[in-house]
Amino acid sequence: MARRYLSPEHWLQHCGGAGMSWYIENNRLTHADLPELLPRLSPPYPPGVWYIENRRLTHADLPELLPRLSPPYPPGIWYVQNGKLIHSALPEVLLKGAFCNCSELRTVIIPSTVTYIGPYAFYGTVLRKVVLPDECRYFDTSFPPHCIVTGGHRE
Amino acid sequence: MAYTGTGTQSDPYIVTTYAELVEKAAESGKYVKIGNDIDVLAEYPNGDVPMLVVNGYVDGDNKTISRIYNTQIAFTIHFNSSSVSYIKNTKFTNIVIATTLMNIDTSSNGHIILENCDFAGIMTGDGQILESGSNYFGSLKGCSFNMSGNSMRLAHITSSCTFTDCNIKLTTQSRYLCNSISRYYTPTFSNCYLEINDSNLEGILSYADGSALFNNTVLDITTQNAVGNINGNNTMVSIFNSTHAPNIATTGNTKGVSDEKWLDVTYLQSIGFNIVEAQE
Repeated sequence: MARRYLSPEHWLQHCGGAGMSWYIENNRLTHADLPELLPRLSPPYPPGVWYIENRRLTHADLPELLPRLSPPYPPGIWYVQNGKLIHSALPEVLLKGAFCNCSELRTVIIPSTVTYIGPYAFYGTVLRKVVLPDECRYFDTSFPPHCIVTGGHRE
Repeated sequence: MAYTGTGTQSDPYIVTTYAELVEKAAESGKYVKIGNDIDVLAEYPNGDVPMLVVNGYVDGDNKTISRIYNTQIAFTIHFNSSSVSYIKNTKFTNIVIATTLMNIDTSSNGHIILENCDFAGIMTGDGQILESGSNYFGSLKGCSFNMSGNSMRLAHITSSCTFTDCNIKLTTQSRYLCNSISRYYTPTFSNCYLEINDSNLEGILSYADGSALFNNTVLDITTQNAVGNINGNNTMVSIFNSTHAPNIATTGNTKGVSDEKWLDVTYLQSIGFNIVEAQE
């Protein structure tokens, strides 16, 4: 039979014609006796074969990277904690305040006669919320960072 | 707890402190196994950590040696054996060192092997992760390095050195990835991932006409500098991210790949890179 050359646009149209054992499935020529192709490689992959996992090139023998530094840090290292730069060898700043760093202090009742609460008065406690008299003045650092303060006037 | 064992292959020393490891690893031809995780700084709170000299065979048994803190002496780990010596299966974390992490002695013939070891931390001064002396052969397999340092190189090479299956991530401002005393001594990387961020990079190897040899390796180097050719005249294709380092040219079997095509499996296959579409 004479060899026929087909352009790409006529390829599927003509090769799948009647009387031939070939047919078109998923836009590809095939026939009933044609075995399916196996995937070239499947997991677990042989050594040295790269693939993409979590948007990164990797292969089976490649070890994971460890984090460069993690707590507890060696001396002389700066790190960021709670939005603040901290140095592992720096001494803690001593804070002044009547109840500062009373780490068990969970609740407090401020009498209506109180008009002023100084810096760091309740800093370092575990107070979550506090209600102040309307006339009471206080500072950003008077209470722990996440304490909800109702009433009063912030300086 | 004092060490146990006799140091033979079937009855290795089992060490549980850094002091014991230093003592027993120095014995020539002896086998040492690490019995538990070791916090070096807790053992040496003043930072006067002794150098670990390895003359035998150290199996970390997947334990972790953390917080090697050494800002004084030049080497932290020193291979001194005249034959084969190794460290295997050990994680070195939270490393803070001044200069060179590992040194292979220059005095006699030998061969060191690092296998399945992980190193993570920082280098505060000028130095290299691995310094390889003349007549010595370094073989690193299945190791990871996640290190940063102001002026840190991966290796100073005066003899052969091979990296196989190594995952290397470095952030530095060193002029060279590797130093070499001769263009004939080159490091070879096979099946490795090199992620290097170096704004000061001038060359992969300090010799202008020398280059590291890359085989089936991924190179993701970020620098704006114009660096000499990256040579890949090896059997298997390596790829190089040409977007992250637009001024570096590639030759031979190392192929430049843009960011756009970096994870395009079909394209990577088309240039001969040994990659498959991952299956679930």
